[in-house]
Amino acid sequence: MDDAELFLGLGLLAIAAINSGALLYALHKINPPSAKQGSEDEEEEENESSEEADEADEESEAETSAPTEFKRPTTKAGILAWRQRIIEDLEKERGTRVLTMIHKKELWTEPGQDSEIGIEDTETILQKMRKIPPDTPVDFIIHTPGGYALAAEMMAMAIKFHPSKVTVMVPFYAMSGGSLMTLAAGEIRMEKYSVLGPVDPQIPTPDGMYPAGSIATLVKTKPIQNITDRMVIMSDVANLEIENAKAFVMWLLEGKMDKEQAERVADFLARGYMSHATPITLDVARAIGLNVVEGIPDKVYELFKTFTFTGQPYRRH
Amino acid sequence: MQELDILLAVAIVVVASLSSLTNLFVIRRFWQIPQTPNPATRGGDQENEEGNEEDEDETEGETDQAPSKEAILARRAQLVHELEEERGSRVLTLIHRKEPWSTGDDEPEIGFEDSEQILQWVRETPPDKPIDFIVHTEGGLTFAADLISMALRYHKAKVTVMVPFYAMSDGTYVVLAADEIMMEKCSILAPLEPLIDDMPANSVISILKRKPIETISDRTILLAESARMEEENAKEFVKWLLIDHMNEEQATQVANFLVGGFMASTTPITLDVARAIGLNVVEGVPEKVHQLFETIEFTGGPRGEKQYQ
Repeated sequence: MDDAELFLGLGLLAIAAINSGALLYALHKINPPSAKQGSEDEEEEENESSEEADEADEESEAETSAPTEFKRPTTKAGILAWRQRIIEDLEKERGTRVLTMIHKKELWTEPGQDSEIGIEDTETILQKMRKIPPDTPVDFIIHTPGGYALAAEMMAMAIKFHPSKVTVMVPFYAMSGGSLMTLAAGEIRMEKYSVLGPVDPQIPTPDGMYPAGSIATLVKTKPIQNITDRMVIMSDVANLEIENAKAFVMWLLEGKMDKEQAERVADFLARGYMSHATPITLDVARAIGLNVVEGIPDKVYELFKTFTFTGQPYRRH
Repeated sequence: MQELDILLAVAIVVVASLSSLTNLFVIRRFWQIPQTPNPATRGGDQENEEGNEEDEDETEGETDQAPSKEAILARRAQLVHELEEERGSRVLTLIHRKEPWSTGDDEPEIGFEDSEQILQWVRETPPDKPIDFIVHTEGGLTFAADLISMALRYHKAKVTVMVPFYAMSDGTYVVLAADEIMMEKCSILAPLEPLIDDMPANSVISILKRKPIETISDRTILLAESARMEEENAKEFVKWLLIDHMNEEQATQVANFLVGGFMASTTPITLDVARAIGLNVVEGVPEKVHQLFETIEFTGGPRGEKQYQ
């Protein structure tokens, strides 16, 4: 009798244990851990190792282990989470919202796919800009070889229209269309060695891409009857494009300097006096009257570590 | 004997608490399943919550489990339906964008498929029902765009065209057909100068004055002639689109401004410019439209012809 009762008690206990174990296992199967909301702390620790680089949930844990033995995430989701964490830190540090337009090779970039400013960037940035409260300052990290002019112009407009201060950070380079966007900023942060570039339009012709300034001078250097019809027509287009670029730069600089100076800067950057790859360094940018501050926060460099620095080089500009 | 009783009681208590804990846990877990971001079962309210989240979070989620084409389309249909309820109108869209399922060289632009579809939609809309037309395009076939704008112009009730981002080149015709234009501060329209053999009409015409005629090739002279006709045609069409909303003189001026080739084809016509030339522009696009665009993936290869490089 005594033994029986003891057995009964132990039996019940065992059944309950097995039961809950089985249920837990079944749940684990049904509902993969990535979908969980982070409410069960114990569970989380158990699963941590299996899905290290999965979701934003694990960010906090990864952070604590980062300084000692940090493992570079190798999945897209992992890299994006890592990047997101750095951006959030930077936002906290500076009390701003951080936007990025970084055109670099990613692990998931397909071969031959050059990243440059496209209308997709514009749509993304405009959508993000819309959600930023008007009184929140914005830090915009730009790293780009340039690209589609209209797309860059739209983003520059968004920067100019933001009611609070917009700081554009150029840790390495922001050429052509990217430079146009920096001109819209209230403050430009650069390093001694980072560069901007001229913003003169490039005109596509059947023989390739030519700077608008060069096409415009062609008709002055060669008798017009000896120039091909297409080039004569394109020279007209080139003049219009230069006018447009200059007017746009002047509009961007409105309120940042007096009109006369803005016109000189616009002429300097958009007329095509210099090669499209000419570096406009910090000193030059400062000399022409842009509001440049030297120095980039360390977190930005940390952000760049999330990108691979290998892969095919970009084509020459 | 008493000890055993106590043991048994303790065991039962333990069992009871264990199983209740398990139950609690199970219930909590099951509770959460419908709330996980599973796109196939997404409801309207949850999407609203998500819409408030950071974009980065959304993209992260997408990488893990990309929503299926059906789920995306269903979500869009739902948003369009909600917008229709909200505004009491018929919502039509002309959105050209790379989709996750579009193949490599697909460059969506205005074509006859669009015009046929939209003409049918407009025809099915009762004459007294206002139309909200969402445009997002880089242009395409002028003739198809003309057809769409004619259909909108002839619609009896109010036509509102919404431009959340851009309506370039021929997309701008469609915008001009509207009774009211809704734009964001950063949205842009574009000049309407026709392109002849990829060259702006006015520049082609101007060669006749700039180069001695005997040195111009026959082909270019013919192109210049067709450029003149195209430009005239475009001007008349713009004038006709606008004539209900402004007097003839102003309509002529606007047509000249947009078609005449006074500016580069990439000059952005912003909200302020559109308003200054007398178009009926309202700032701001309904929130639902922006939500609609959140269902569209903004990635894909670069595109566009003119580049700063």
